[in-house]
Amino acid sequence: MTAVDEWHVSDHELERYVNHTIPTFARASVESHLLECDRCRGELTSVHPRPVRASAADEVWARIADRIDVAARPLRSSTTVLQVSTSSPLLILATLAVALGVITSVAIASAAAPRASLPLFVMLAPLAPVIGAVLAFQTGIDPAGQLAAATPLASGRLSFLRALSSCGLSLVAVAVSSVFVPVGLDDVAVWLLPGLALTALVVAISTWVDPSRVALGLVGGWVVAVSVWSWGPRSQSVRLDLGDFAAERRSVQLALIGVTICSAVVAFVRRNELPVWRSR
Amino acid sequence: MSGAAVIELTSLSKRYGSTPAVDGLDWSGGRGVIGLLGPNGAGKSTLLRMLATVLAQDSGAIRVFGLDPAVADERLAIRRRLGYLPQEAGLYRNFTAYELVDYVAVLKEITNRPSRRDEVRRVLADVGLTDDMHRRIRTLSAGMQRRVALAAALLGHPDLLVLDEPSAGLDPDQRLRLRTVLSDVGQRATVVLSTHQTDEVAAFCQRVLVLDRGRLLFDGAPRDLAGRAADRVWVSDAPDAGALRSWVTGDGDIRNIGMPPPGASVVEPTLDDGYLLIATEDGART
Repeated sequence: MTAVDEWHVSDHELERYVNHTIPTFARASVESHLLECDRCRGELTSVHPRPVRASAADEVWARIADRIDVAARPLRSSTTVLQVSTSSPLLILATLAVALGVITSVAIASAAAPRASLPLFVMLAPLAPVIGAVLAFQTGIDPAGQLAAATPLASGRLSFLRALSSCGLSLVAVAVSSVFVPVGLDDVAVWLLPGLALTALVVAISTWVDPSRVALGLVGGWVVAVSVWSWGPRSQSVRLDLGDFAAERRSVQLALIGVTICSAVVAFVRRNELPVWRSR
Repeated sequence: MSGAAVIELTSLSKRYGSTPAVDGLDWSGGRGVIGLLGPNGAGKSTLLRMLATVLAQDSGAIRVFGLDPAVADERLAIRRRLGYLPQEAGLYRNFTAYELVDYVAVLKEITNRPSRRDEVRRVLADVGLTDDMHRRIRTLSAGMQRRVALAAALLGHPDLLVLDEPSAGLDPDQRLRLRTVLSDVGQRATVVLSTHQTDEVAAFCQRVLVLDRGRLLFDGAPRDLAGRAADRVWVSDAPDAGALRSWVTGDGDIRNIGMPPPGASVVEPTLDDGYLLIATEDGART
């Protein structure tokens, strides 16, 4: 810095530079000097002090926000969760699309072959929350995923929160849509419990391996199991009986609830272990 | 540059298929602003993504603050002290600038709402977006959107700031502001940024690394990079056949780098000259 030591930008010129009132040619000259001169850069900082004071309207709004914040303190953590888990509109749309796809398939099958509609519903309905949860783990589903990738919550908790909201949304969508198929609310256990158990398993195992692969394996297994149960060689004798399953197969229901709770605990304990956020 | 090593790389390598992106890099660095220079495909973004804990290496080791990003708990500890601006920072176009930065603040575990609000306003002021903070992202220019992403990276006073081409899309006024902000941050933290602009490196980087094809060609002060081309740059009226590189300057002269012939008008080298000489000599060797 030898040449620049002999001349410095005056305070007046700096002010004009900051206020964009300096002629273009002089602006270029001032800028090239600023790039070389520590002293004038320091002066520039004092001419344009930071942080910039918020406007009066912003201050008023900030005070209002504070009041609301105090009133809503008990809800604070849940609103944070909500903000994070619903921040990907694409994920919400994709989840709804999957749920509607499931119900549409069942409705079409129901019209074509009424006897097939029930097993098909039991086969497909639990898949909606599973697919919704898997979608939540895809970094590409989030437009701001790159920006979020290196934050502490992206270590797994962000995906888990999204998987939770996506799973919940698809369950609601399927439940609402189920009025169009011959499954009553009393029989909700027949698809809801397997759906929850499969989803929780996918989320838990995804702390070790890619959730897409886990889901593919579990979903494949579920489809084969329901197919064999409903249409296999012994289907007449062990025909899926909704009433029997929902009302009397308590052991099966408890087992599914147990799988769900255990998987949720594993996922919580290993919430920072998600490998998918570190691509290879 | 001072203090203990914040970043330590040991034989760090990363390949995409058969192409090496980072090739056996050994390096360590502490506080200050560190500039990465290199052509497209040099491995700058890959290296920055590995430093930002979002990409795993194939072999070798990375330590950031002495912690290993491959270990989940240590990765989390690094991310709590990290700010990262990716090259392609997508944004929610329907959010306002404030909402977007506030959302990233939530992801950065700034859960106390009054503190978060103050912090969001601080970083938006730092990047000159105070007056535009309540505008929707989709109504902002590309340069302003870039500044929103930069504001998100600055949240929480990170001890390590990893910036992939932070000045891309910024006009000269915004670039100047960026330099002032990053110089301030560099006083207390480590800033690693990639750029194509040597003037940027000259203006505020204390250390410069030149990368090409994943290998480190130079590591030192910017003035030393220019010094590499001392007595190796000359001007002439026509391209010199003996020069490694020749190009026409703005005033119509031909600038040459290489071994000047006897009687050549040797001139003072610039950072560009040093960078081009190193890159060209390396290209000729391999």
